[in-house]
Amino acid sequence: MERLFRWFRDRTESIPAVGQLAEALYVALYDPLERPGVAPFVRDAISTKRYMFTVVAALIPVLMAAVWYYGPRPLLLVVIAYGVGGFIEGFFAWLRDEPINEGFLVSGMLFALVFPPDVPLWVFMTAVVLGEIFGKELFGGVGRNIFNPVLTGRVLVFLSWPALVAPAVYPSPADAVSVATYLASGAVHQSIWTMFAGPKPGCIGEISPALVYAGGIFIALMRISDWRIPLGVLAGAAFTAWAASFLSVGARPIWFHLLSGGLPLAAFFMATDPVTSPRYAWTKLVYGLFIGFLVILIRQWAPLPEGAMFSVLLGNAFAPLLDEIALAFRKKTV
Amino acid sequence: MSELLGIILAGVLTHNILLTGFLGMCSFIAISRDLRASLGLGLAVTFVATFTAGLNALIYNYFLAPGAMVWLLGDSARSIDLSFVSLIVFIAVIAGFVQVVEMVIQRWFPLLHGVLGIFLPLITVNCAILGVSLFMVIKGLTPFRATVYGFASGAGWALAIILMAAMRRRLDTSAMPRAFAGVPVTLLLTGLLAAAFSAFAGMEF
Repeated sequence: MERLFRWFRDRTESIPAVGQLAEALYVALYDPLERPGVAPFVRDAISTKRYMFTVVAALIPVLMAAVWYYGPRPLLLVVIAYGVGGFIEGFFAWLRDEPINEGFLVSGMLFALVFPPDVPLWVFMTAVVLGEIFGKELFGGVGRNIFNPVLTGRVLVFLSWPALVAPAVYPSPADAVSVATYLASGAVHQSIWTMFAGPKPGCIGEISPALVYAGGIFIALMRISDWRIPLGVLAGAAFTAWAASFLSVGARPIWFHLLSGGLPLAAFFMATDPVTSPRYAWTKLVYGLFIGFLVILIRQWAPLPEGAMFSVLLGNAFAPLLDEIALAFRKKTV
Repeated sequence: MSELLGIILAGVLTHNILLTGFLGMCSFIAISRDLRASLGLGLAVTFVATFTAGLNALIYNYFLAPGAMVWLLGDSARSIDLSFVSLIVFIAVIAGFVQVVEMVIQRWFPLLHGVLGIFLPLITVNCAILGVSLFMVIKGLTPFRATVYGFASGAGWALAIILMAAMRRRLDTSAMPRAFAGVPVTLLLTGLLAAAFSAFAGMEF
């Protein structure tokens, strides 16, 4: 079987589009089997593909919990994101004459997780198209973008049709009930256990913070993501929430902030995107703290219920500047 | 005190003159190609916006506003309304201020002139500076508050151009599609940055 795919790949190498598809198929199925024969050798067997698949694996429990509570609709969103995103990725790979990058496996998954399950499909598709094209492909594809493509698509449709992106169903295996998210309703009447384990209304990826935390800690331990970023986000959010309890009336407890809305997903899976985060160790920490600070700032003082999406985008905007500052210091001290 | 803090946060975040008003785009796009120059221009815009806003507020509140010249001409001036010339006066004040400041800086602060020098003439035609003076009239600010507002708006403009310069610097080292490099990607990034900054819209302190 492997030889069949390899044969197919080798024969179609010179044909545009078909060749790239064959290459992508071969890489997806068999890549780690190919051992390099010449130096340099890397001790670890990690590759971009393994890297991406580990993140997808860390997100699958969250998706399964969502399917349990919402029915098959979250899966449908993932399939659509993979279909539309894969088509755009393939088209631009063909334009650029480059192999298809596996990055969209992760972004397709995340696209589904940042939308509520009852989002209209055309809104969802618009978000995927806008995010893939304006967030990533126009910059030259994976690894060259400035803003997180998933959140770029999300923010563009959020600003265009705020009402259609707001979640309106309550997760329940029996039947769906319309309800506002805990952040929007402004009340803290849930037990800490429900807040932690779920099920919680909101976007698909917000269903169970416990599973998001578990997946996030898993990829941090696997060194897929840098632990400094989620630590920074959570610490920044906790500190700002603590400070806000002195400044503003109606501030909610720290644990409520750390367990609600898009914050866990943003801390572990959005902010840690290696492309759009800073490159140096201490700038990563500062970047995380900054995002955590912004999340609480927006939740507490802006007329928006949730700020995780905007905070990560603002963090992305500041990331290159943080790196420039780090570089300037480094030049001075060396 | 908290009101002044509110003015500063509004100028830098919620009503960032570049990211919500899209003023001063021409020099923003041209200069953000270089980080060091962006720093210099940002400083110069902040400096000029601070003082011209204060100066124009003084002139507007004591000469141009409807009935403003009562202190000079007595009750007969109550019906005099010179606000229709404020646009021209503001431009003249900005241009004159920039000229004088440039000469003063060149003569007594050569080091500062080295940093700001080339950018000062550019600023005369920066619409963000004129925008600050015109918004200040609409908001009805006192001269002192107008100065604070000018400083905040200039700082917001400087923040936007410095962020953009750093982002473009990262793009320089990556393989952009050729047709899209330069101005097009700057416009796209400005739009995305504005979308991110829209989180602050309507924020109240």
